[in-house]
Amino acid sequence: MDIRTQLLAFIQGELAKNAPDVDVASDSLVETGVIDSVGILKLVTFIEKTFSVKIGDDELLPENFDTLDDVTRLVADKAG
Amino acid sequence: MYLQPAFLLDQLVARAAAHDPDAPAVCMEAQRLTYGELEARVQAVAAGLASAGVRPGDRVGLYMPKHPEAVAALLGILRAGAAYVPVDPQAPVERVRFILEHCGVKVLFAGGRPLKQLAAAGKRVADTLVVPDDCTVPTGVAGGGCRLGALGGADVAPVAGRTEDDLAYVLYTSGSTGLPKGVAITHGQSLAFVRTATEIFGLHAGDTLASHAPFNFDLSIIDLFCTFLAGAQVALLPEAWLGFPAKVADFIAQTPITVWNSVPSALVGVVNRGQLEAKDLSRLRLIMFAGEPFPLPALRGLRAAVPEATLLNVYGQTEANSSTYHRIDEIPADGQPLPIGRPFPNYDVLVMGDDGRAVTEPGVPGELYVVGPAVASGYYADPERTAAAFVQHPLRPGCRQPVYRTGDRAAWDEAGRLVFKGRADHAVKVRGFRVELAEIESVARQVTGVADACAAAVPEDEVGHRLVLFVAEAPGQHVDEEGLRHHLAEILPKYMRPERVALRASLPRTTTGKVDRPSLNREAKALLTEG
Repeated sequence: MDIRTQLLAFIQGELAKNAPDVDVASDSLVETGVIDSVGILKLVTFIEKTFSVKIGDDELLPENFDTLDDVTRLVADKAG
Repeated sequence: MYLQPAFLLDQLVARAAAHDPDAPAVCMEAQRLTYGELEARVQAVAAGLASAGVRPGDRVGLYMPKHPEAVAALLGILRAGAAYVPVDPQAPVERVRFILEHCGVKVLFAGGRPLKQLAAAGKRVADTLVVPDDCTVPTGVAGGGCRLGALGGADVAPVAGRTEDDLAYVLYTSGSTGLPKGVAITHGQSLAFVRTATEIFGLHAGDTLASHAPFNFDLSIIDLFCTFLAGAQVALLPEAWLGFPAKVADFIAQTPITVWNSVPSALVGVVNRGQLEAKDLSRLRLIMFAGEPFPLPALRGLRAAVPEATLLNVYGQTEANSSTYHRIDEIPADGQPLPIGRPFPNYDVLVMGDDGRAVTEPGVPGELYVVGPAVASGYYADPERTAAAFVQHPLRPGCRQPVYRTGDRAAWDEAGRLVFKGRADHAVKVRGFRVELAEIESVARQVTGVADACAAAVPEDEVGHRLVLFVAEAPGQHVDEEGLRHHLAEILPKYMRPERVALRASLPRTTTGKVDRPSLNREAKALLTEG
């Protein structure tokens, strides 16, 4: 599975359970609250475990996590 | 320079604009409004609303993300002689519809993502919809609608005969019967708190206050109206930044913020992951927090990051504004309570013992009662719940001061300060918002196949509590978890939706037959730790 697909599955299954009206593939995850203060921590833990990369506190910025594409880019840059 | 009583909440802006029209009033990122500009926007909104049919005494809904335009909107609603009803921008449409109907809102102001959500639902929620000039009016949401700029109304005369007894806003909070309740506050009640707080906090025209809380949360009253009374500036923190402590820390350092006011959980993240050591926080002179207890290790981190700033632990409820505060000169050892302090000067608080007498000796817990001019009139259109919480003065029969029974347990300490001792019922705080666990349970019980439901709250530093819902399935029936979550998401705001749902054949009971909450709390904690 590619990075985007794995991220999509995790966000859909773990973070967006309570937000049935959000389209995880295209909506802003930050504005819709899918990625909130708890969500961001879960997502970072998942990314670090799954892709064996490290995300620094200085990279925890809304612009890096706004959409699925942004998160995919962040991970791909590190994993690549 | 403190006020003549003739000024109402929105008139604080007019007064500041007359004094110094070029002084900064509101900002968010690159957008800035001076007092002169803000006052002009307020007048335009008020005139527009009047021509849309809003009359003094009406309620007008506000369902918008945080933005300078939303500040102008709520002030304009007040200027039109009406009361604003702010709805959580992340609230589902069904909750919006309930709230607007409950307090008889005919005109709704909506913009941004909330407006898109209304459009997608296509449910009629108001007679008239007013949107900012850069939005389009969706169909199906209201009987009629228009852009604010198209309303005109330049020739509408200012509303005459307004008084401090006019309703100013209605803030909806969680209710244990399964329906939210609307706390109704007049201009006079709000100002009674705003005047005292502005003086105690020493706010002045050189200050910039951060606006962290959403406008449907009563902490926003300080951010907005204490700012306007002081002629200071309020800097709105974009909602999208809330989960990103480093971004919030940059916002504090770069704006720069001089006065911060939020729930503790917001600050815990900033202390733990905001990289404060790399930021210049020297302008931050006052930090106050309210809504839940501050975890002490993070409080020590905060103290170390801003050694010079004054730290205030503020205690209050929507029903009575903030009522006590404690200046933190030393941080207690872990396990010791951080006092909630002493009442604001024009408040009286009572600790009522279980025997019906006021407790005066230290260490004896009782229920906290708040007395004073800032106590709300009651819950909007809800005489039953109003009568239960807003009572006669327990010691002075015939006293006309309103008294609010908080449902909080507290005790005096040896130094004459109050210490919080928990709740008398099953209410918890999530991100500082009051959450009645019974409300979640009652909404869950509406779902087919649910025999019983019990919500458990697990304490956590950065959000206050994390929620787990236990559901007992009726014999021979199956509950579809996705359907259940869907139903909860249709009715409950985001902060009330459980993170985990656990389906069970039955719920554990104590020997007296009650649901065994302590056992479910332990189970909930285990469920959340296993990930």
